[in-house]
Amino acid sequence: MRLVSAPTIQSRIGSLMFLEKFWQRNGFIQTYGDFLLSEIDPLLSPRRLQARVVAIRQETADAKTYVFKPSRRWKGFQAGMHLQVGVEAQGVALSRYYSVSSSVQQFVREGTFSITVKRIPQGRMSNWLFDNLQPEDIVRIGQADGEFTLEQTPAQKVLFLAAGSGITPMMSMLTTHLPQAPERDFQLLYYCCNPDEVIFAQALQSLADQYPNFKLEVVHTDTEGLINAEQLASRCADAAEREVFLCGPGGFMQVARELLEAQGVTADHIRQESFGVRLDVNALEQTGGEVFFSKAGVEAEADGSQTILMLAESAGLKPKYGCRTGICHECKCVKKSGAVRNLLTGQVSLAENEAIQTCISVPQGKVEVAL
Amino acid sequence: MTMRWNFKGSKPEGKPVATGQELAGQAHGKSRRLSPEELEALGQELEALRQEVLADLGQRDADYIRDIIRKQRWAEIGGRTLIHFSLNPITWAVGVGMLTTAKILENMEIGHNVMHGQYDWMNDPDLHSQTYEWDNVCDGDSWRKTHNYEHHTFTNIIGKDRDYGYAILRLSNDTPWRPRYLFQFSYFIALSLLFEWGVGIHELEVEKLENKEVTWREKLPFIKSYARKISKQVMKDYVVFPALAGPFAPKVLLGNALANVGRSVWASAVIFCGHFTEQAQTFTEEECENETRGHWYYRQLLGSSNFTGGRWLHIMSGHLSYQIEHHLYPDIPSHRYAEMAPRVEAICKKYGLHYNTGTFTEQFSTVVKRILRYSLPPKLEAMLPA
Repeated sequence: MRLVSAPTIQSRIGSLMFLEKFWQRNGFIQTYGDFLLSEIDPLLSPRRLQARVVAIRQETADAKTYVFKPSRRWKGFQAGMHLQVGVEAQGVALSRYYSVSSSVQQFVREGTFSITVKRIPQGRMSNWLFDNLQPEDIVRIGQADGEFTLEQTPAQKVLFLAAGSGITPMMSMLTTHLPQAPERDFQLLYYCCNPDEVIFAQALQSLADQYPNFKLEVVHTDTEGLINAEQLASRCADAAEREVFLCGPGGFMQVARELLEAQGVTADHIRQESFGVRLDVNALEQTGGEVFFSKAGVEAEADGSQTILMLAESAGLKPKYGCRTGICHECKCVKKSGAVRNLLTGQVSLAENEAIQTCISVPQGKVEVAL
Repeated sequence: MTMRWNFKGSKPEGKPVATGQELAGQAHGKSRRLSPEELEALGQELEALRQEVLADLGQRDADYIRDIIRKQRWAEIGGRTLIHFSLNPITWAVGVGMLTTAKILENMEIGHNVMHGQYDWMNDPDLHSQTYEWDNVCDGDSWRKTHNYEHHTFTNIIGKDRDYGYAILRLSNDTPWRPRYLFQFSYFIALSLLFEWGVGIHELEVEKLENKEVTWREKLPFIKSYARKISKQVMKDYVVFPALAGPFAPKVLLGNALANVGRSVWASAVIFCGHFTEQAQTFTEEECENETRGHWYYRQLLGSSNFTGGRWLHIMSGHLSYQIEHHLYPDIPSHRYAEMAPRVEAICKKYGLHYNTGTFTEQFSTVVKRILRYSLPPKLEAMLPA
């Protein structure tokens, strides 16, 4: 049932590699062939990997599951993997990584998979998905990837430690592996604020009822407090014998990791999955900082009086430029991370992988640009 | 940080020099002279409008360009199919018309505007200014350099803007007269017919090669990339598609050639209406020395000219019918120019600046007159009625 490792599928993919490469090149046949196929059905596009929304389920007040039917070119996944999902929000391409929350069996049977998204108050992507994405809509996807899978470990005893929307990869692993691994021992310790916030509450309960090798523990932090040593020891005394899979907010994972190590779990038995980079809020106040030019592998110190273009030049790079006053866009390059201030508009750009005009951009704190 | 440049070096320098500032804003044509304070205020008002529209960009703009791309692609597929499988001259002519339309849309409303960065904010790799490659013998990188940088930065500065007359036409008395200019109307016709080839070879800077300001060796990388782009375009339109038609190759070859020439003629007419009309002003290097952003806006306003027309005339001109707005805001999606134009015109009125517009026929006839007028030596030219 493990789709990715199935030899027949592997060889089919291998023989299609040259076609993949052909379609990714720029040319007349590629542009117009892709256009015609996409006009028939967007999922036929040989250049863009896409999926159609086939169903949307409300899980809790602020969590929804989106069921996707991907293009045939999507190679499938192993339970626990994540993928990039992209949409167009107010004309702007946005993308984030999400764990698959459904089973491999469902994908083999119906050709569908799902992601489960929790609405984050200031989150651009999650809010857009909640307010706009409808059945039949098309989203862009990437191939599934990741090492947060049971295939990576021979361990027979497993502890899933999840908080909030960190449950999603666990759900995929449980629904995939419970039916086919009766010899493995699973325990899930799931932290949520209160009963209303528990994602997959019913599904998890029925799995626990059905499989004796699965032990479910839900902790409501509103009443039982945040994760702590005592609680962890009482809920899972044999943590040290288990391979631990950890997924949740950054703060939760940091504390959990320390507690686990104190309980005797060695670092190489803790696997964790984390998404998103939390922005350094102080960066907005800063001028200057360090700029890392990733292609050249060079770093430059900024004092806030020089543009990224000037910094690149004083670091010995020869980036492309034109007017040097923000008119012609010749100097445009991708800012991979960090904040820059646009001298012309005064606006601060925070987004990752955003194109900036280096001649009018001043770094605000630590910045990485693809130069 | 100051936004000034110095023409002598490529990098901006900190301290402004007085000369440019004193000359800046002198009266041009029907427009009055602006004081440095007024130039500053003008710049701020125009910049405020830019910010307002930038903040409003969204789904409407994305939908607009995608819709145009979709129409262009169907027109191209339909046109090529008709040229290929036409049974009579009429269906063939319709095919040529559709292919010409598609090529005009791709170059003018899509390629030119995408390459200006008008849709970079969408974060779509297929619509990114620095990687887009258009259906034109002019190499994309060469275009970005000669057009986006040189022409849009140094617009209508005699000696700096090589698009002013394309180094073969004499369009004002700022250029010394030579006997060869007597025949410049025929150069104009030839340039119009072969416009894409002329634009493609623009970066070679023939006039500088003649003066030995640059060497052939320095131009080698450009020549290579131009040759690569030419071979790609020639293969497509004049080898592969005709060959696919087997015995009917000649009609495909002819159809494709006509579509390319048709686009060249239209593109050159539109572009000539943008800067070479009677009231389009020129500037000297001295008055633009250490130029402020306010004066840059002022120069773009006075150096450009619009023409009026219906929605599809604007679309087919790539909205270069709003050349003034395009030059003020080259990186704002072109279909917004129509909404911005009344406000730009109101700002012009407030500052006593001439807003240069008219019908296509009116504007184009002043272009033709200008070409004919300045083919004559200054003494003869002075005798002509204004």
